[in-house]
Order: sequence, then C-alpha cells, then structure tokens
Amino acid sequence: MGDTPKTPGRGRLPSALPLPTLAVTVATEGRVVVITLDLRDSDGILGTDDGAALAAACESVANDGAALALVLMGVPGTFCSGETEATERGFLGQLDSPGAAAVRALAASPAPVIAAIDGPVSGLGVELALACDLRIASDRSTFAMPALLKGVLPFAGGTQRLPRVVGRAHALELLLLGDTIDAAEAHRIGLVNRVFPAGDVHGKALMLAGRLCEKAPIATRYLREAVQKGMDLTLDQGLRLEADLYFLIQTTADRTEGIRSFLERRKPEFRGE
Amino acid sequence: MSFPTVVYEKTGGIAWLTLNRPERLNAFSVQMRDDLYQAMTAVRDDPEVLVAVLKGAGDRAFCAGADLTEFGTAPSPVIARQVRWERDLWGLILGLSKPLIAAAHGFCLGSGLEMSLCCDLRIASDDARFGLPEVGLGIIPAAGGSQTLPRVIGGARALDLVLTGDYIDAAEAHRIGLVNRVTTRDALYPTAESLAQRIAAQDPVVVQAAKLAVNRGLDLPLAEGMALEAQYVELTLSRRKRG
Repeated sequence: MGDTPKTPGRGRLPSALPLPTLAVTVATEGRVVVITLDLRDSDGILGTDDGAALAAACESVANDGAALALVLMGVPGTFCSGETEATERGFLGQLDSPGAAAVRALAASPAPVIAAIDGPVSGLGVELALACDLRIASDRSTFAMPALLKGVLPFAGGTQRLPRVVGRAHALELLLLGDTIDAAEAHRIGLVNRVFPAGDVHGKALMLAGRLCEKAPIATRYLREAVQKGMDLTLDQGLRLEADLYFLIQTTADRTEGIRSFLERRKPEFRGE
Repeated sequence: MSFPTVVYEKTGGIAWLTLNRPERLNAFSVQMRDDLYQAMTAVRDDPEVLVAVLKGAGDRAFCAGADLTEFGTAPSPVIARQVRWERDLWGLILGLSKPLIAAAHGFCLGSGLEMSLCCDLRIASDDARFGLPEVGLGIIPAAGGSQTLPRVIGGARALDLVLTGDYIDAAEAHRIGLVNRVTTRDALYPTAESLAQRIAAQDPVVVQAAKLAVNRGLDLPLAEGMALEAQYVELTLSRRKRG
C-alpha cells in the first residue's frame, strides 16, 4: 500500500461525495463535477458551515482525482454575495475564514474550474469566481466588491486576484468605490470571459466543461501551471517552465495519440497517461 | 537574402520576413526554425535595419501552426530540450531591441500565434483567425505562448483561449487586446508599412530604449522599472548633448 500518485482521468468517480450542508451539493455528470450553492435562504450569504462544506467538497474532488473539469454554480438566479458577518469580524483573530478556505481549495483544484454566474455576485462571491479558471455569466448578473464600504478589506484574495484578472486600474476602481457593475461591463474589463442570456448559463457551463474533458488531462494541467505560475515569474523564467513542461509531456501516451489522431483526421482518445 | 522557407527583403530601414510555405499554410517546421533563426539574426545585426515586419505568404494563412508531420520524428525529450536552448529562436526574437510588427491574415494558430506574440505590435486583416489548439492535441504551446499570451491579454483571457482551444476572429482579438489594429485584407501590408516607416523615422536609439524599457520593465517591480526608465532617459539625453 502507500500513496498512489493521482493521475488525472485515472481514478474512479465516487457515487456520492460528502454533502455536509444543504447549501452545498455535489453532483457528477460524466467526468464533470458540478458543485451547486443554494444560498436562497440566506440572501446569498455563505454561512460558516457552508464555507467549510464547499472547501471540503473541492478537496474531496481533488483527492479523488477522477474529475476532468469542475463547475461552480448557484441555483438559477443566484451565486454568492458574501460571507456571514460573524466570520468577517472574527477573521483578524483567526486569520482565516471558511469562505477563504473554500477560495483556496478552488484555486488548488487539479482540474480546471468554471464559475457559472447567474445573478448578483459580491464580496466573497467575486473572490470564489476569481479563484476559478473561467468565469461565464448571464446577462442579468451583477458584480461588486463592497468590503471597503463596510470598513473592512477583502481577505480571500480579492486584492490580489482581481488586479491580476482585470488589471490594476479597473481593480482599484471596483475596490475603492464598491460600485456594482453589470455583466456587459464585467465582460468589457475581462472579469468574465463570456456572457449568455439568462437561463443559458448553466447549460453553457456544462457544455464548456464537457469540451474541457475532451482535452488531454496532463496537457491541461501543465498548461494551467505554465500560465498561472508563469505569471509570477519573469518572462525568461516562465519560458523555461513552459519548455520543461513541454518536454515532460513528450513522454506521455496522450501526446502520441494527439498527434496521431490529428494526422489520421479523427478525434483523439486521451487517457491521461 | 532568401531561405528555403523564409523570404527576407529589405526596403529602406524595414526588413520584411515572409513565412514561405504557402502550400502548407506556412506551417512552422524545423527548417523554418533554422531559417528564421538566420533571418532574425540578420535583423539584429544589420545596422541598416531599424524595424522588421513578419508576414505569411499566400492567401490563406499567416501560419497555421507547427508542422505536425514532423512530430513523429522527434528526438528524445533530453535531446529535444538540449536543441531547444542551443538554438533558442524565441529567446532571440524576444530579445531583439529593434521593434517587430506581425501582420497576420487568415489562420494564425498555434506556433503562428505564438510567433506573432514574440513581436511588439500585431496588426490583423479582418479575415484573420486566432487560436491555440495545442491542449486538444495532447501538448502545450512551446513557442512561449503560455507566457507571452497572458502578458498581452491577461491570465484570465489567456486561459480561456488555451483551455478551450477556441478560435477567435479579428474583431474579438482586437477587443481583448491581442491585436493592436484590424484592417481590410488589402490594407494589411500598406498599414504595416506605414507603421514601420513611422517607427523607422524616429531616432533608433530612442525607439529601442523605449521598447526595452517597456519589455524589461514588465519583469520588474515598479520601483526597479522606474529606475530602469531613468537610466534609459539618461542615456538618450546624453546622446542628444553630444550630438
């Protein structure tokens, strides 16, 4: 026995993943894991238990290793508008919060994560979305970072990830003013990748996730590493990282299959090896 | 000067480099790597060249990506890695102090898009299509794309393109900042030429100092970038006093 290294696409999908609260549910559709937040009873606010449940769900999906893509969504018309006040007040004492732990767990996902946003998103909700790889939204979604209006700072990565996604100038405007922007403006500044009519966004997220599953799992993982880690490096160092990951991929069966399928004009069948 | 897969022409202070495998949509091959390496070395070393334009021959493509028919003959990863850094084409291009303009039409995919990302300005005709399909082929971009693309359009937009492999048109490429200008097909090379001429009309030392200040500065903390800028200002001012 011992720890078996997790190879993407090689594990078994569990029939049931932990469901510690009613607000966080986990479902699998093929190789896609869908985590749904239902925060209708709390006006979009993620409770302490919900944050812990979301973090646990992400970690469980990661440990299982079988998922090739993750979708984080709310029930129709919702996503997440923040975290409970108690958690925010307590954070200086404990230097963390369940919501922040959930953001960390999402960002650490070995499979790419899509945030499917439909409705008002603010505070921790924006930070959850920022921890994902792709953000798609319905045209009725709105976005705000209102922490400063409440006399606090975002503490789940908002001051760091927001400028990295939309640039410093747009980030400072959102953070300093706390204004709410609509989906079109969020698309314009790059906060969301794609906008769809209300009612379409969850279906589009599943479609997009399905397409991510058709890609080579190791190449997908290394690509994310090259882009995400590379942005923290100088260009020269980043190019080294990219090249090393590229040569490592030359040892995979999926690369052989990818090239062969292209030359044979057929769809590749990747196995994550 | 001509190479098997690259045509190199000089008019005034402008070097025109044309990827010339139109029957293969200008697919990037080992031969093209070696040809471009020589052509880019000429751009670097020829004092008459002030700015270079990179374009693709034929009607259909700037460059449709790497020539995958060569991939079956790849050496071992150890040898491939050694060769990569012995003949570092992308490092050579990215390290040029002279400005480079990519003028893209038709397919601009994979290594083709990555090549354009090694240039300073990208202009595109309205028929251009951009995409990085590598992950769907079981590999990742290896001509610097995973590093240059996020530095041009940001990490979030870069991840969308590379994870999905979706192609985008010239208008979307312009919206997200991937290309600086979009023209009609007929206006593509005249626009490239007029941009190149405007750059070539400036004091070359000032032009190169400006390019290096921006590109090197992006790798530095702001305070160090400001110090670098001050050094370049000093350099250009002292030249003016002497001149």
